[in-house]
Amino acid sequence: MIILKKQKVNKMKFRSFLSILIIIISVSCSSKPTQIPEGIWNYDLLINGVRAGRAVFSNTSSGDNFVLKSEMYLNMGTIENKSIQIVTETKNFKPVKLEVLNTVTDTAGNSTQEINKTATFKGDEVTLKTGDYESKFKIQGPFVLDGNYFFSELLKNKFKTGVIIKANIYEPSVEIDTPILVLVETKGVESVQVGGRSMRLLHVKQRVEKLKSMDMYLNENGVTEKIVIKMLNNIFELVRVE
Amino acid sequence: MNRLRFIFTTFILLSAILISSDLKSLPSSSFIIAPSGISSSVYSDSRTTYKVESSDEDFTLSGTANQQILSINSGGGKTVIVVSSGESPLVENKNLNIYLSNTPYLNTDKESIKKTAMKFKDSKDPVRDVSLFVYNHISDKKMGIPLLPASSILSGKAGDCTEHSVLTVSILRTLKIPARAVMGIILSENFSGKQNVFVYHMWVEAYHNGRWILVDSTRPQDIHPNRYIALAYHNLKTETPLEYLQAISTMQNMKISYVK
Repeated sequence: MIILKKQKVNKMKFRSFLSILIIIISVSCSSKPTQIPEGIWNYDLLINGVRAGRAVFSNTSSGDNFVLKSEMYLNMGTIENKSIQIVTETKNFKPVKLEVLNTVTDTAGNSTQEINKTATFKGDEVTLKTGDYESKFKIQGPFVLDGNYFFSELLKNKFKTGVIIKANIYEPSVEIDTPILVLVETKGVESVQVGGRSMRLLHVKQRVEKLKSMDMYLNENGVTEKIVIKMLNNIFELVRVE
Repeated sequence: MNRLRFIFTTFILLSAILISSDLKSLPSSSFIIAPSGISSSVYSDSRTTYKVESSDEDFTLSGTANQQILSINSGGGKTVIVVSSGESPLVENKNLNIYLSNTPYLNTDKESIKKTAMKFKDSKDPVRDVSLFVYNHISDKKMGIPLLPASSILSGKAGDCTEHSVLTVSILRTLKIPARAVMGIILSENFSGKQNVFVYHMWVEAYHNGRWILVDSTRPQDIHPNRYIALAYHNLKTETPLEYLQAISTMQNMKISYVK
């Protein structure tokens, strides 16, 4: 009887060990990115779980520069909103150009309005054109235009959990002449539901100074599979689609 | 990961969607907050007290031309603010010049805006007259348009509460009347089949006769200040100014209840 009990305990111990081993293997299988991802990716834009639009993101090399393009489409009744942002930065993340092209089309009235914004950068000097308005100003301190710099720094830190990268991002839709402090923190590998599938993804939290955060989930190649923002009683999600 | 700018784009979209209150493509829960315990007297009273709750300890509200803050209690992962809504004598008059300045969205230097403002140069009640003009001029009451410059609104004659607010602030500032935009919520007796619900909204405050007054050009002849709760000011310099973002980002799981 005692022997039987001992065998039972050993079996249980072995099962527990096996379960832990499986978990360890599955976690270690979720390898981390090794380079800045380049390509084109499509997303559905969901608001409270309902598809409200779509987005296309791309990150490509062009000579000595990276070109990051995002297109977002949102239909609201008879109004179609299209927002295109093109970021050009050097391979060492120095800002070159930011173009924002917003188009509002009224499908009922067949009218279209465009609101374009272009910022060109020469060192700390910025020339910003918003419609007919042009302004020139200098920005104090270093700043970047998008996420490639953060990705590169996280790569250097091997995406270790708890690592925080801070940098200022220039975003004229928020502040015309002052870059905004953005913090990015690696939270570790988690199981996440993406389009009804459970995936092991790297959780990265992005926080704008004093603002609430955005949760990003990256696959082993560094490609964003899902982004979640919660605000004003609403949940915004970008979910990658094939 | 490469799209860190998405957070800003989202905030812009979210603001546009909520204020536009478009119900065709999304559940109405995206645009409304159903308050608890609403009494029918709210539609006849001139002053109403509400309890506003957010699951964020940094959440705050400020006194405006239509609201007084009675108490703020933060702790335990939430903030509860008791606010009294109704006409409130807000006489704060420092730095009024900042509410006269031009911005890329106000276009007070554009000939079309100046010419329009000149129509009200000799008006006895320019605030009321400008508000009525904007209401009538934007003849195509259309939702879903994001923030547009005032000169585009003037020529396009279409828009929702954001277009009414931008054009009103622009004309008032051109007339040297300090004006600012407020983002908040308004109690609607019936909104798309839902009764007694708060709907996201934008309106204006103008400094006139020594105090700030509430101006709503979407309904210039039917303003009831006790049905408005102001959440944040918007400086109209950019689509989503940082201070505005900071304010609205603390509004999480917001609940409103009627007190008296």
